[in-house]
Amino acid sequence: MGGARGASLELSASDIESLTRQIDTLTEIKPLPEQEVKELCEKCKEILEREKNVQPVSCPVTIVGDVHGQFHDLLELFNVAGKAPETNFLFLGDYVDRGYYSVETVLMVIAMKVRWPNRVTIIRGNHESRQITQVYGFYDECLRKYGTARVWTFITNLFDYLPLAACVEGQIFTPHAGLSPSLDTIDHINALDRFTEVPHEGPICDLLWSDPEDRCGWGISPRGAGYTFGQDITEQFNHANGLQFIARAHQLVMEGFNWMHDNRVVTVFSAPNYCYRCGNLAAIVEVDESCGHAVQQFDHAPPRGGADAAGANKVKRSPPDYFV
Amino acid sequence: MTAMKTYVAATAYTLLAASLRYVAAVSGVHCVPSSVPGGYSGMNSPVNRYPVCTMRATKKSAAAQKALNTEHAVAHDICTYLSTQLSHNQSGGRQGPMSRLHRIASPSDLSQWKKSETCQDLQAFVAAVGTACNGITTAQRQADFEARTDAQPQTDGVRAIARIVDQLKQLRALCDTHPPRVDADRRFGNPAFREWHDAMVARAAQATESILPTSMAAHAGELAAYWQGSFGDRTRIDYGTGHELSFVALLYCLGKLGVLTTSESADIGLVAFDAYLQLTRHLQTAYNLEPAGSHGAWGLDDYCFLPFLFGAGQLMAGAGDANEVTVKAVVTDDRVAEMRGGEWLYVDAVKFVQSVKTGGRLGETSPMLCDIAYGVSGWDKVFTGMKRMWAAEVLGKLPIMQHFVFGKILPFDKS
Repeated sequence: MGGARGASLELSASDIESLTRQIDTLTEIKPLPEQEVKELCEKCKEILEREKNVQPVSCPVTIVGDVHGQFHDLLELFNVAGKAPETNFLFLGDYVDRGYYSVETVLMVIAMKVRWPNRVTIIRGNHESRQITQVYGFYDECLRKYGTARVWTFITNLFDYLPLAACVEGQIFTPHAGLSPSLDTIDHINALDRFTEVPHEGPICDLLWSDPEDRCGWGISPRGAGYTFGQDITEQFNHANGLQFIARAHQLVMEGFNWMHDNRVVTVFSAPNYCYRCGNLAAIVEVDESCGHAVQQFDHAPPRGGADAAGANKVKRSPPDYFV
Repeated sequence: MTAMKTYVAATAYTLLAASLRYVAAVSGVHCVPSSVPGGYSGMNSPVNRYPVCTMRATKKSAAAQKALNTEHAVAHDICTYLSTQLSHNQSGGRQGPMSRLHRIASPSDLSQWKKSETCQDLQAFVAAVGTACNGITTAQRQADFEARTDAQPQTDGVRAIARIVDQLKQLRALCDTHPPRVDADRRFGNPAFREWHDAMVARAAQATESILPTSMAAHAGELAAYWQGSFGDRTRIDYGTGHELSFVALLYCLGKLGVLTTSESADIGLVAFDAYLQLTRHLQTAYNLEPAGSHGAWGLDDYCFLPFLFGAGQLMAGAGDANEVTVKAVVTDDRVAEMRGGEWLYVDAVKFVQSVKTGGRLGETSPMLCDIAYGVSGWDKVFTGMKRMWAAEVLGKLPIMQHFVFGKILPFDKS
């Protein structure tokens, strides 16, 4: 069997029934009640706390990059990649912020994880953080859609349990962002205590913030967190850990994917027409049974209409407090 | 790679020359700034000037010597700033140690800053510009400004704004010299922007010199720091409200120096700022600039803030209703959005958002614009809300203010 290894919490028939209903509700882009969000997060925590910092994953599996609340495009992705449980998924983080449907998007991946824990792997991106979500939209969205920040609290508490990376068949290392000068091996990463808010610096921060660069060696990141790393660093890490290549997300690339460092690092970005304006394609990486890989590109979901200029969503219109 | 080295070297040379020129200018003029008290509420005050930062000559008393030392410290800061920029460019994007001109680095710095006189003063400046635009259409003010540039003799203020517009036009033409690279679309943000940015920086001191009256050439270096910070980040190839703030700081400094007076307030918003807006929109689309620190769907706009503030200023106090541009009509009445953009900055900004954001209706792509349209009762409240929000979300945010530079005209002295 492919997908994530190790997790084996038994689901009751009624668990399966409610999860199926929740996934259907989300697919129709309807919100889940607050109490259900709370229970879902608790169940997901139980699964995630047993997973390793670098969660081992078997092939075949489909690797997904940043989604950023673009729920319609996530559904488009399922049209291209197939759905769970027929397709195994490895999501590389950044489910929330920027898009209009972060709540629906993150609840969907959480529900999928709880429903099929051995076939779906989810890891932490730099946006799966209390601090970042208060700046880039997810917090505002929870307030707007639920009227309180409780849903945001349940979900961001769960974020502390997410693995820091995954590794497909011991051959493809998949952090959200990149490497760290304080981490030479996957064993080093597994030795970290990850159950905490994303720190401002240090190895956990680096895995979630660093970027590959054309320049050799380590560089200071213009992002103000993490580092840039050159081909020499990638080669060293891949060699020391017996890896084929690194698949990571974190950066917008116009074609949805971008190979660097002599095909030893691939960036995968799965939010097409990012921020409704960037005009980029999205991509996923499909790893087959024999660990071969193929990139699939896809475009954004068809434009959606609505009865009025504000669209047909049912969210109550309330301007920010500044205007009251 | 070779091409990259060449333009980095060129920039290094220009920056060095600019910093040397600035030191020479500053050490030749021994003066100390002193603020004239008074707020921007003085739109109708008898003295038709912004509170001016006057420069009076100093004698070599102890106080003067202290002032002189401050002056040298400022000159030193500018050099540090420019050399930081220099090493920044040379290392292809590394950020150097924090220069002494960047004064906000921590939440406690930020809370001091928010209480500072300069911060209040900047807010008052922006509010005064918004208020001065009331009831005046953009097109009308621009036509009126054209006529005033023909009048002789030109005031320093009219001349300065005309020069700003002219310099912005030159920067627009510079885009044609550094066209976006067609082969470089693998990564977001077109790398040709870096060439454009270097060329802009190389001309910055010259640009601000041309804006200032000859007698104030000594301030060109300080103003150049704001000018070159106004057009996006060279390394990250992005643009956001922090860059917009830098341009406003330049205009504010011209007010403090007494170059711009309150008779030019509406020109600041509807002529100079509008010209800046047109250029930055072109940069955003031509070079695919990433929205810096964007809240995505959940922010007011991915890139800018002030067109909404100045625009609400135009439409408040009954002007919107009198012109059939209600708060709601901006998003509900297609004719308003289509036809009235040239008249009202707010309408123009919403129209631009609608033209660049695709894939969903405005309620999904920009819910805040719809919330304001449906939920705020009139333009007066929109204007007040925009002022509060700008203060909190731009002047009050560490990720923005940590990049902001301070100097002599726009000071922030931490206790």
